[in-house]
Amino acid sequence: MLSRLLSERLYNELFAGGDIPFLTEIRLRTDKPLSYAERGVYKKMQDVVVGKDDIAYTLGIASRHSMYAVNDTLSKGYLTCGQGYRIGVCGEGVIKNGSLFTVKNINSLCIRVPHEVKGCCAQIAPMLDKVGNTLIVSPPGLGKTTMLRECVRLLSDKGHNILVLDERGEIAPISDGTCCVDIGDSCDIASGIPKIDAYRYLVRSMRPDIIATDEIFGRAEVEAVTDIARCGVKVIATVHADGIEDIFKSEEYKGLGRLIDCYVVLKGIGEIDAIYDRRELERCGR
Amino acid sequence: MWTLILGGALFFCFAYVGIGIRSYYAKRRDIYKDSVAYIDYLKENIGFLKTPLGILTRNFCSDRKGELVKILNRYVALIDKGCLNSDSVNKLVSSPYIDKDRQEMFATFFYGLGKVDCDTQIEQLQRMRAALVPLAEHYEKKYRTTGVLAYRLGILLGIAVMIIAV
Repeated sequence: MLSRLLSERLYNELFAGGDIPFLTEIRLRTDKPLSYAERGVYKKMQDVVVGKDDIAYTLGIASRHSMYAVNDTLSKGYLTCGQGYRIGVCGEGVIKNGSLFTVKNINSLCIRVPHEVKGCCAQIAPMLDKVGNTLIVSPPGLGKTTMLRECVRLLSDKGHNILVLDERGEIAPISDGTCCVDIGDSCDIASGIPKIDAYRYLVRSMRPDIIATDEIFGRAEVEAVTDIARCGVKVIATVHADGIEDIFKSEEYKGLGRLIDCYVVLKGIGEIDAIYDRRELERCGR
Repeated sequence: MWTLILGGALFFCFAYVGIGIRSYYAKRRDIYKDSVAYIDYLKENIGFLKTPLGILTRNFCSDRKGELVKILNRYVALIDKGCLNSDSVNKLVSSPYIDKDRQEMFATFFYGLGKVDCDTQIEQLQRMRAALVPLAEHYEKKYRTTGVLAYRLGILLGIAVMIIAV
């Protein structure tokens, strides 16, 4: 996919020294050196300067030369381009009726490279069935989505009906109607549907045992997830935070504290820093 | 015997020229008619399902033939390769069946496809359609008059020459 997404020049320069294992991110900024992240560590290629044509090329491929088809996500600052790749987009905003309508003169791209790491939740696999609601916590870029995907696959293989709320097409990317990753046989994937709408409608119509959702953000989503859990549906979700203390201190997210039974804090792709049980936390007065 | 063969060959040549001229006018007419159909197809699918351009164009071409289909197939190939720029689009529309002064119109149209949001795209399509419909009617009229006339003349002249030769 990267060989199609990047212009020939940038692709050849980036991989001139061979494959880059655990490449997680590529950043293109107009007239600036190409940079990339390997295992979360950023590196710059000072001799390789990104041009406007390189950015236009990547946008054209990512949008399949159909900006009308991607304007909805573009107005939210990103594009998805199949196989789990997500491209963050930065440029000049165009406001219409008081809200962001689209982005023009795009000058920065952040290409997130997905990874399927089977076995990355081996440490928590034995307890996945037994624990209730689970929250995977880490700062950006440390493999929450990878871990979530693997949890979904393991639970799906055990026969649970899982509804995957994949608003950004990262957990279970769909290409021409087919999922590009292995997430088991018992998953229903709601791709590209805003999470609040999916919570409202699909939870009732698809009757899941478990809901898997990425990047809970904001009070509305916390409330929606809380409502779902109250209905008896188990929730596995991720959230951006440095640690669980950030969740408990936040006015918006502390509602999750009453809901989540198990917190999994990550320190890297496939690397668990700590696992917290709610009862233990309550005993410690958190 | 040889005069018969010569007569037949002469008839064939004149008829062939007549058929060729008629075919030329027919293909010119069809490019504009098919372009209107293509635009209608795009409007319907872009507005409703927002299907990517490459898929839409392939679907449109799947059960059709003609000069426009050849252009569209090349267009899709450019999209797939990511080589859509003004030079490649200008080459795309340099067809003998599109007048030079109309080629820029087609080039601008193809170059502008897929670059804007849904509502603006549909407006652009409507404007292009409005420009193409009178042209399609014009070339239809040309076909019925000049094209058909050239065909009939070719046949008649061929018969005449064959009679003279024989």
